[in-house]
Amino acid sequence: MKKIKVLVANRGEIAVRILRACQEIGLPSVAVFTDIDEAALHVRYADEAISIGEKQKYLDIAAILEAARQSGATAIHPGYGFLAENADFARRVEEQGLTFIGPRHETVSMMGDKLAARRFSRKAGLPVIAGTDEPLPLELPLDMAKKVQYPVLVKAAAGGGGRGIRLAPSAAELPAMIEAARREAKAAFSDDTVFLESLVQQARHIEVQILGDGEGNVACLGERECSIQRRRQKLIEEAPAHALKPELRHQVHEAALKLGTALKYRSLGTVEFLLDKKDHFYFIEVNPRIQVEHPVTEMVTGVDLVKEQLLLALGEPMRKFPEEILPRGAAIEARILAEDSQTGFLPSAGQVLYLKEPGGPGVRVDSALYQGMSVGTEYDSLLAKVIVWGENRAVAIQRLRRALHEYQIGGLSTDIDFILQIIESPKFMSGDVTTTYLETFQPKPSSTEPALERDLAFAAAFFAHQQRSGNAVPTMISHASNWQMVAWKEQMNGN
Amino acid sequence: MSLYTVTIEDRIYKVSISGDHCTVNGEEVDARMLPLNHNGLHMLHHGKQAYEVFLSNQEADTYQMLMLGGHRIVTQITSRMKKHLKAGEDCNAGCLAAPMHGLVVDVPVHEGDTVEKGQTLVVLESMKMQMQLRSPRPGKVTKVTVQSGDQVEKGALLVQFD
Repeated sequence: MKKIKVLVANRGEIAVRILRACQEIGLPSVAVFTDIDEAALHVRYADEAISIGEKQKYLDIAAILEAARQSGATAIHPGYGFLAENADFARRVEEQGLTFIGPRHETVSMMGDKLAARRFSRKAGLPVIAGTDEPLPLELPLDMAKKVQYPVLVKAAAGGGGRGIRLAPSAAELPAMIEAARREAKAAFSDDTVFLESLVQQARHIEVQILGDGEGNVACLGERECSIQRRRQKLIEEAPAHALKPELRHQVHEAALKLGTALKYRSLGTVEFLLDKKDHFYFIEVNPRIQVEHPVTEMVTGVDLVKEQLLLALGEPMRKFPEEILPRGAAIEARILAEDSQTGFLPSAGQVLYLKEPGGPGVRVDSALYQGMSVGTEYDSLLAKVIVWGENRAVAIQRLRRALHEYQIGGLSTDIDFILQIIESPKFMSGDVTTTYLETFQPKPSSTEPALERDLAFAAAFFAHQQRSGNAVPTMISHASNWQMVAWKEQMNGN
Repeated sequence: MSLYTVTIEDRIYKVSISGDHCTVNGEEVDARMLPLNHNGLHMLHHGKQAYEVFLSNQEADTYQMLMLGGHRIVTQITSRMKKHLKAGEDCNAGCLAAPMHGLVVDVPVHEGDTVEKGQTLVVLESMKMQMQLRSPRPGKVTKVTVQSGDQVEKGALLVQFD
């Protein structure tokens, strides 16, 4: 086996996730970190760590390439976000003679241009949402606003991550929405090209995981449903998509494979679709990278996606996957964000004073948290992901509920209570949700049973009392070391 | 006796702690707190249930509390400690505490009684001296926590009124 040294050009839970896969395969790894991430968990998970400077350096191609040069890394895994969908980065990595662990830069480039992706997918035979295949001219033709079916979406051609998208409910609002989308696109992607796309109403978000060797072999690893979104950001994802009937599931998989094959797709990718009420599905875009929600696919297929990605980068032949992969049971992921649902989802910051992660059957936590860690608002608010597996969707929901109740993050506000309210709602439980479900879902203030709250008031006063009176608090461990406690327990067991 | 005002969201709890004796809003607390380590982790026994509670105070008077196991809240708690009370002094305008260690000789009022300002509520004997503990203001007795013959510690809650 060829040896590669993998530099992970990312931070947070995904950097830890990729470094874990490197460790399991036995690949030497390199982390990069900015000044504020000096104490971040991913720095300790790698064999080596290289400082790249101030906070925005994760986006700096030259800084990442320099770190690769310094460390002698031979391959770069971009994770998601930051430079993951930057075709220029993918190209320059390969120009340096390094392996880019992802698709060819031509694929990244074409899929990054939503208009090119639409044209390519239509040619490959995929159903594409009605809309313009060319950029909107700066001066909107007079008759165009009249011809359009409303409501209509104005989308940035360079868009991603839900940015640069505006909804125009009628012709009157169209010019203002085009203007707003252009502004946001310009700021986010330095490209103000926009186009129009019909709004698929009451849609579900369905996406298909593909893996290819770049030689034309493409495998489909099943689909996910990610309809629970807040402001176009996915919050809860599941696999399989329970709304798909077997015949339809087959069609969606076939469509994704068709596109993957036409692209001679290399590495991991996701083909995203919208599914309407009448079971029509439409191509939206390709995400040419590992995704946040990849673990739900891993849970129901048993395939370690990141490992497969690394093995392909090592030049290993692609593994044989069954024609139609059969998901086992159901998996759900909840994104744990540093956002306070009680104050309008403002980002929260603070020190992680206490941390207890859930465990037990069927629970996986992908996280970059540790006790004592300082959480700032400089980067994405994603702290961790809780992923559960159950023999069916209902069991998985029960398990997620149990796991989220166990998850305790002290010191900063998170969305755990909000997610609990969503998964406990009858609509979510029945599975009858669309991408607009959360628009009307109001988080309730969290409440505690009055008698318990009274005791909690006592608990707080008790703690304050102990602290202020400086009393030595007798504890379970104050008189005996843990070893003594164990010895005592064993004695009690009659050993 | 120490008195704390604990605020959870907009709800206010008056907690009194006196040795092993604790009340919340005048009601006896049968909950118990067992510290599990020196970092703020406790076990709270509430009725038949046991919870994990993590407490920390990063800022003065602000306590963050995290409840484990089933119910979960993350709440800011403020707490103030009153000075030990002087004889007859009005503590939070609603209770009478023992100014010193002593023996309760007489409690001439009962729960539900209406009392005038200056009316004797408790007669306490300490160091062979009897003192009349008087009501600081008119009010209605809501709770009498002692009876004749009780030994009380300094700061112990004797009578509550509104």
